[in-house]
Amino acid sequence: MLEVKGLCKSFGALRASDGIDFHVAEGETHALIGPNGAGKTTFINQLAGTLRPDAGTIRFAGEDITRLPAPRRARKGLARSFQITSVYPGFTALENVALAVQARSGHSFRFWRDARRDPALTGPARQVLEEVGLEERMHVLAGNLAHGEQRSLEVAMALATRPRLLLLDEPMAGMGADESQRMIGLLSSLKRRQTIVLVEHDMDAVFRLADRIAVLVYGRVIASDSPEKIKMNEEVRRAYLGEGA
Amino acid sequence: MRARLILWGIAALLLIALPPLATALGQPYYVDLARRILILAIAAISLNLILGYGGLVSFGHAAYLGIGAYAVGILGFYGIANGWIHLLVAIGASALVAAAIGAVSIRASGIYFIMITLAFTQMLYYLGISLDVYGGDDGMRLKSRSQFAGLVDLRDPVAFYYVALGVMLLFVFLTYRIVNSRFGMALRAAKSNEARSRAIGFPPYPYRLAAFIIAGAMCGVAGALYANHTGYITPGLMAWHQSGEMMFMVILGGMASTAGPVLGTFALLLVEEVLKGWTEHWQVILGPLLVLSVVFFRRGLAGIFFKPDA
Repeated sequence: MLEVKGLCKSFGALRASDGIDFHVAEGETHALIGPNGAGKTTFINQLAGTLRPDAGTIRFAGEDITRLPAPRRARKGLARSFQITSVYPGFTALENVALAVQARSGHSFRFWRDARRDPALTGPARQVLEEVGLEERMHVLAGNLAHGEQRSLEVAMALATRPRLLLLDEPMAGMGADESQRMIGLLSSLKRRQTIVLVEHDMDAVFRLADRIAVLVYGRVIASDSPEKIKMNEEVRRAYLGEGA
Repeated sequence: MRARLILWGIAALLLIALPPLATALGQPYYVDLARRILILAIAAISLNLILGYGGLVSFGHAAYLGIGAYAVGILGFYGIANGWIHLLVAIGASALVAAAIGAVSIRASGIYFIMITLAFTQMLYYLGISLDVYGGDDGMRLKSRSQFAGLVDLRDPVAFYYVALGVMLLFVFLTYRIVNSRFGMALRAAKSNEARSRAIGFPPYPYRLAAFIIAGAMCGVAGALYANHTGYITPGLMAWHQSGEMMFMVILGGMASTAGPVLGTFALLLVEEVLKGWTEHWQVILGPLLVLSVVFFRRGLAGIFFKPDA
């Protein structure tokens, strides 16, 4: 589904992506872990199209998308959530998700009908909100939602575009234990029918959700394997999990 | 929602009742003043579409006021008095110029966008000054008003007043529909969070450009009406302080609100009018008043009555 070859991106002297090879098969949940500053978000930004790589190729569903701008990639079925919460704060939760539905429903050069009363948009949006457990909060402004709810809203907006591949950049970031458990529950229910790339610090979540794990250190993938084998890998232990792990 | 409709109804009734009241009071000048305010309110409504809802701080919106006015003046100069042709050319020319300016400026953002829109409008201003055929710096007198045979005679001040009122209310309604449509939601979403819009598949550029063109065309109508109102056209209509005043009307009234630009235009021009009656140094008083109003009414005058839209 996703095939990355030799991806390089430097910021000055810093090589944030140093020849990354990365493959995601249809239907799998592929986690990406690594210490702070390893270049995980830089990598996700190149996949989503917000950053342009210096070298290398990204193929998605058989097509070279290395040079496509972000909105085109989104319409081809690559959806993302942001590490730092990124919603429309002045719109309600329902409007946020309805906008994502609208984005995948063809062009928006329609000037007359009230979009907020359009069941073709609000119907699917409600459904997704129910799925992530926000249906009772749908008329609350996104800016007034609790942090954990905003994180769920992020995922809901990505889902509402009906993506073929979901890029989740630390969906559990800043969440309390309860909220994390709920998010893990949501992701494991998605996992059966959705291809996911998951960047996450919460190891408990990663080992519960991932089918495969890639370990990124200093812009290089030092290991990519099943969770069991990653746990046993000496190099990974030294670089990331800590000696005692 | 219902409260808003009632307030709009009351406002519309007051405005409809104004000409007979002014006549009864023996103050026909008020009709003239109100007509000018209504026409400039149309311009402010159009600016609000891009400034308030689109987040595009255009510092050159007076360009379209000038283009609309010159469309009427130049067509009249060559003996074409048909008002429908005037309107058509005013709208078409404004939209074309907006498309050109927008295509270049919207790729930039922040201060660069402001400066590019300002620069283009200054170019048009100097173009107006250099066109000696059409009066150059001195401007030109309108040979005749736009003629809408059998429908309305713009020489009749009261009839013209009702035309301006009708067009303004129509544009309030049009803008309301636009900003709540799919197009409007895409436009406002890009203002709220551009990165998020790109990530869900909305490229902001085409929606912003379309809004820029629509706003330009609407302001062209205001320009055509304004030429008929003053009967005289000068390049000064396109000067930067005119653009600044339009921005102020929108900000004072409340950005991204339906009533904002109308309230702002009325408030600004009425206060201006009162101060002018007191002293010739009225700007010294108006300046601090405007600063205070922005400090105390963050959401503009409309924010006193309504919660603002996103």
